[in-house]
Amino acid sequence: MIEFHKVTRLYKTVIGVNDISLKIGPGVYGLLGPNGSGKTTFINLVMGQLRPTMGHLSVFGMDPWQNEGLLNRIGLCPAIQAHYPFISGVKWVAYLTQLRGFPRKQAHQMAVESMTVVGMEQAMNRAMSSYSLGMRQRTVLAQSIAHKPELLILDEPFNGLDPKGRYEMTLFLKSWVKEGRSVILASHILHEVETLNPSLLLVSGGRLLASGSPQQVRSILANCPNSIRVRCRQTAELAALVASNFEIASISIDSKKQELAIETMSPLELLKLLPGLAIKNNLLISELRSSDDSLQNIFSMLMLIHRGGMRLPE
Amino acid sequence: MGLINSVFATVQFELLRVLTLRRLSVAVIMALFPPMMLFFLQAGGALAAPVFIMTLFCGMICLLSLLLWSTSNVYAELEGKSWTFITSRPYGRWSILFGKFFVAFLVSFLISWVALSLCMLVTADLEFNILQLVDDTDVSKLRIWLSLSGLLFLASMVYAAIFSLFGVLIQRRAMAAAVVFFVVVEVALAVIPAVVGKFAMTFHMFCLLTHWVGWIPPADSTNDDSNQILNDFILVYGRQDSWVHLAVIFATTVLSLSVAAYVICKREYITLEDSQV
Repeated sequence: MIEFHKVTRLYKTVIGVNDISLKIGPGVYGLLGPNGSGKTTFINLVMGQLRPTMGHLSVFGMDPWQNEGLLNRIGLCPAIQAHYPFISGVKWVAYLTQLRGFPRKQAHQMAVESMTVVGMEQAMNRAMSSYSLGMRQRTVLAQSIAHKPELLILDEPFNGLDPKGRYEMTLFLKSWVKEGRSVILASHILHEVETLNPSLLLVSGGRLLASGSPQQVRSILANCPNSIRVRCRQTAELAALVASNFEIASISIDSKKQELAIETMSPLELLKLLPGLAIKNNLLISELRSSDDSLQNIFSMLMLIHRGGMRLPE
Repeated sequence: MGLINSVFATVQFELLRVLTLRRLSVAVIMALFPPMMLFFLQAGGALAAPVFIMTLFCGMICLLSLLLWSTSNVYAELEGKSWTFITSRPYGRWSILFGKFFVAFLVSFLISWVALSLCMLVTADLEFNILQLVDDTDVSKLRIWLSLSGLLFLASMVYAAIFSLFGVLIQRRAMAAAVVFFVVVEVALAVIPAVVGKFAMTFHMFCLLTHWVGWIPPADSTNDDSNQILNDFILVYGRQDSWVHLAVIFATTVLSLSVAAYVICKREYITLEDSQV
């Protein structure tokens, strides 16, 4: 479906995407990366809005660069809020559907259907100025699915949604995927993407750092040093005990915060060992947390591996 | 068919956006400005050349409206963050160019034409004292109104196309660039009595006005005064038939729109979201 071959895109001296090569077939993909990692550039390259500075890519076997024939096979839900205060949602969606070449009546019918699918049937004839953030987000989604595309690309679709809105969006995406359509979901929040059980594409600094199922990505991380933070009054004593009883990659003490940062290849074993050590030596541990849950740490780690600063164990 | 549909859709959508209180108020104020000025000048006894004054004011209003509507064709979408939605459609770029061109042309012509018609009403009691050099008879007010209406139509069309091209080529300073272009080419260049002056649309429109109002005597005129005027005119403006001037104006419109269409389809427009990677 999408093939990138050594694709690099520069904005003058700023790198958008850097030497990306990948080949993905139909299915569900989560494009994960922190803000500014190159997700939107990736999407714009797929949509043919940007031309690669180096390398080449194809979408559905065609060069997407301003390939008008390709655009009706893709639906794009960008991370932008529509803002036409005096226009109703359905009129806006119908207008954008007409720009795909559909006649007026058909476009209106398609707009009504897609607004109904996203749960906007009650509010679709109201002016957009009266819409909540969630309603606007749903209207933006409606414009991307009105023509029933083969591939739906969503850029941060959960932004600004309340928990109910997030749940409804997830339900919609699950039903969309059930119909056998392809989805690329760009986000910087891992658990939002995971609900669809997609193949993950992890990008950071414009580079594709890793790809695979969520389980595969997690297994990569399981083999990487994990950082565990322990808050304890007797930090020096605890540090000495951990260092003498356990194999660690590094240990550092923040005496101001009374905090210990331990890097280890076997975090689970350390977590099992710590309570026993504390009880035996009469140490009071007030907080214990792993700092590697956030996506940012995963990316920092993958970037380190990518740059050769760290090696994955065999 | 798809392209026509989408251009039509953009015209409808843009017209829908015009129908807001704020935009309608601006249009009404613009249309009322020339007749109001004429009224006050007339009341103050300072209206020496009513036809010249009304042409000047209505032309200015027409240009101002075109500057507002045409030059922002791409930038308004980039700034309004709607560019991504539009360009992810097969006919999005084309429809924005042509749809906005038609709306700019239509709105500007209507505003300036209403202003002109109101000016004619305000000056209904005045004698214009404009003679046709063809037969030394007074030029009727109806003929002046029709001639100026025709010129406003042509000006709206050709400048909407030229300014649309500016909007496509330059985003942030398109309006300023269009103003500079107008002053340098359409005002300064047009009065140079040389071939270079013919690049200005105002030159062709002035020639058309002289034809339509009857200020150009026929070549076989026996009137000595008329012949002298004709010779002077030919020396400066040459002697072409009306269709030549019309052809130049239409060709400029088509050429400007063609170049704009090529550029808007081939160019990468970087939105704020893109530049943030």
